[in-house]
Amino acid sequence: MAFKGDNDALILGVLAERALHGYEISKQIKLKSKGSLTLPENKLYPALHKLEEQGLITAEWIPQHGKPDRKVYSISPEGTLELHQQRSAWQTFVSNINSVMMDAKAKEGK
Amino acid sequence: MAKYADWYTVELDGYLKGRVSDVHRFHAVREISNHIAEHVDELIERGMDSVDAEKAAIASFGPPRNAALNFLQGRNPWTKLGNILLWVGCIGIVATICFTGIFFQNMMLYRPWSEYGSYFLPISAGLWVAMGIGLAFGALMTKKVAVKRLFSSWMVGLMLTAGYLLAGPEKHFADVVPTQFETAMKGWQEGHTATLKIAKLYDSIAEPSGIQDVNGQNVAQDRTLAIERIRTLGPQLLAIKPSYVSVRGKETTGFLGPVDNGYYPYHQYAQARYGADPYRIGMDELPVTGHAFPWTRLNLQYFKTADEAIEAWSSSSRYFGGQTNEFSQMAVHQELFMGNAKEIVEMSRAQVAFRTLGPLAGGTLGMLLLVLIVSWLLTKIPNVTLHSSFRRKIA
Repeated sequence: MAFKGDNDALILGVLAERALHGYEISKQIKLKSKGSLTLPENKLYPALHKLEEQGLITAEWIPQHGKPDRKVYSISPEGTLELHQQRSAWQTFVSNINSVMMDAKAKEGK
Repeated sequence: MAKYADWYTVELDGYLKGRVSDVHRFHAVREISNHIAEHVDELIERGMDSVDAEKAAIASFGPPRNAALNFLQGRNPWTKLGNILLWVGCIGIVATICFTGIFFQNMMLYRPWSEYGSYFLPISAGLWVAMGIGLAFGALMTKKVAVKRLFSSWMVGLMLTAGYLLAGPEKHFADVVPTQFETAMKGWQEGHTATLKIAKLYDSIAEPSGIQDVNGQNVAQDRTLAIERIRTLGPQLLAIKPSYVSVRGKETTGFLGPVDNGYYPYHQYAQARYGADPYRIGMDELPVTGHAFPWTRLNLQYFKTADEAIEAWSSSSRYFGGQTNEFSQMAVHQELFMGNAKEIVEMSRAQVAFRTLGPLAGGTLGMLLLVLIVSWLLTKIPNVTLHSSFRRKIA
C-alpha cells in the first residue's frame, strides 16, 4: 500500500492551515481527529526536526512579550507538494480498503 | 518554571550534550521546555494542581533519556558532514572552471566546441573529483540534491573566468600592434619553412635506416642506402639555420644522427593527455594568450660508426597517424597555429572570451547534469543511522 500513515502527514496536514508551534500542533491533531489520534510529545519534535531538515517545513523563533521565544513552524512549498501526494496516497488507500470491506459487507447483507 | 520541569530540562540537556552541536541542543531544550510550560498552563487552567500538572506534562514526554534518544534518532547524523562536502564540491567546481578556463584557454580557442566541451572536459580529473566526491557524497549524506548551489557555483566559475579573460593582465592578440604581428608572422613562416625542410630530409634519411611500425617492429632496412643518405642529406640539415638544427658533442666528423630531442617525450605526453599542440620549445615571440609558436629544434651529433647513426635514425622514427616523424607533425601544428593566429588577431577580447567560455560552459553543464542525476539517485539510498551506538553511549 502506498500510504505510509505516519506522523509526518499529520503534521503537514495541520500546518497546511496555518503556522503553529509544537504544542499547538499536538493539540490540533488531537482536536481535529476528535481525540482519536494523538501524536506523543516524544515523537513530535523528532518528526518536526526531520521535516525541517528535509525542507518540508520551515521554522522561526517568534519573540513573545514577557515570555520565552516560541518556535513556530510553517509548511514550505515542497511540504505542500508532499502533502498533496500524501493525501492522494491516503485516498487511494481508503478507496482500496473500502472496495474490499464494502464488498464483503454487501455479500454479508445478501 | 517549577522544579520538576527544571529537573527534566537539565536532564535532557545533559543527555544531549556532546551528541549534537551546542546550538541545536540549546534550541531543542528550549523548545521542549516551552512545550512543557504551555502544557502545564493548560492543565492548571483545567483545574489541575500545579505540581500534578508538571508531573503530567513531563510524563507525556517520557523519561528524559528516552526523549533524548528519540530526538537523536530523528536527526540525520550525516547532515553536517554532507553539507561540508557539498560546499567543498561547489568550491571545487568554481576553482576547476576558473583554472580550466584560464590555463587551457589556448586549447579552447583552437579546438571546436564539440571537441573540447564533449571530450577534454569529461577527462578532467579535478572536475570529477569536485563534482563526484563533493556533490554526490554530499547528496548521499544530506538526502538533498543541491541544485541551486550547484548551478550558482557553475555560474560563479564562469563569471570569474569571463572577468579574467576580459580584464586580466595577460597580453592578448587584441593588444598586439599590426606591425608586431606581421613581424611575428614572418618569423613563424620562416620557422615553418625550415620545419618542412627538416621533415622532408629527416624522412628521407630515416626511411632506409629502418621504419618502425606501431608495434615497434622494423619493417624495412637498407643499410647501404641509409649510409648514402646520411652522407649526402646530413649536410643539408646542417645548412639549415642554427636556431633550428644544432650539433652536440665533441665529435666533428663521422655519421650524423639525431639525439636528445628533448621535446619528443613531452610532445607525446601532451598529445596523449590533452591532444594538445606541443609548445614552448624555443623562443617565444609574442605572449599571446600564453601560447607560443611551436618552434622546431633538431639535435644531431656525429657518431663514430655508421651502424650507431643508423640505429639513432631508426629508433627515432615513429609512425603517428600517417606522419613519419615528429617534424612533419610539428609542421602541421605550426600551420594550425598560424591559421588560428590570423583568425584570433582579428577578434576582440570579448570575442575571445566568448569563444573560450562557450565550450567550457557547455562541457561543464553536461557534466553537472550527469552528476545531478547521480546525486538524485544517491538520495534514494537510506541513511546508515548510528542508532545503536547512540543507545550504547546514553545507556
